[in-house]
Amino acid sequence: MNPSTTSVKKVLRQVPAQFRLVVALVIAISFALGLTVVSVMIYSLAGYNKLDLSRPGYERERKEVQHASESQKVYDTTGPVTNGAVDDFLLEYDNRAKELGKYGDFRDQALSDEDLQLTGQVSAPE
Amino acid sequence: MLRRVVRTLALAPALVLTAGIFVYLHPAIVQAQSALGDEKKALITASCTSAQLNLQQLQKRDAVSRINRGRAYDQMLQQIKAFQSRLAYNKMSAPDINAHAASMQSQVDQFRAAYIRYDEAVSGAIKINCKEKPGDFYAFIEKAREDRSTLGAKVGDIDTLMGNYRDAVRVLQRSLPGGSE
Repeated sequence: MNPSTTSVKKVLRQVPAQFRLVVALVIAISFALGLTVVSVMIYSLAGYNKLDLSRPGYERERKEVQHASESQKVYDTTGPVTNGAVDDFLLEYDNRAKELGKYGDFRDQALSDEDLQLTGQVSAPE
Repeated sequence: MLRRVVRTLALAPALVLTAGIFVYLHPAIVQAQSALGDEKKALITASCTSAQLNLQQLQKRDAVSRINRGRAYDQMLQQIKAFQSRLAYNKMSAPDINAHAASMQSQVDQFRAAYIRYDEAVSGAIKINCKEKPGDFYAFIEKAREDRSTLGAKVGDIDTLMGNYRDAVRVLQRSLPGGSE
């Protein structure tokens, strides 16, 4: 028998029988909590929390997210490279480029003092 | 086996502590206060609550833009990879096209990383007690401005690369038998 298994069994035998279930539950719950904490840390550090619109308060934004285009053609990777094949590719490519034009590009002045109302001038409500 | 399990259990708190220290010392956390005059500080203290509300709205809008752009970039890169596979399958050499595709992938990755930095600066500005620390609050705003500018530049770079890629594909098309404009 594995020596470590033997030593753990020796330790467990020292726990009174009526407490063994409680000890086992505490160990299992602590382990689960520890894993949950690590998962949430990874979720936060990797930046996924910034893109998670399932959080409360993002109901309106969820509707604005464009889901994967159903019309996107699956491009054949094994056919010959002909003029028609390149035209097909460029058609889809141009569609994607046009789609990108509809989305915010972070090039506006949204963080100016005026937009954040940090200039002391009260702007008229829209 | 049991020793390994016990060692892992003992390691978990250490991992949690390390991650916590990393979060605390993350570069997005602004250390130095911005040099502000008393008048500016008073102005910020008076109007920062509404500024934080505006920032929250902006953060939500930007999250939507980021998700939509990220998904569109991914779809485009998938298509590009499929096209490159087709070229490789036909044993066609296209170094320009491959180079542009690699640059685009790199820029898209940088765009994602830039967004994380930008969002952290905005989050910092939203979470801070701006009435007690107007200097820190404004420092976060300035950092967010800088990061947003970088983000916008990345979007511009990707747009340029998309144009270059398209031109390279057109050049390839002209070299094909019966190639047309």
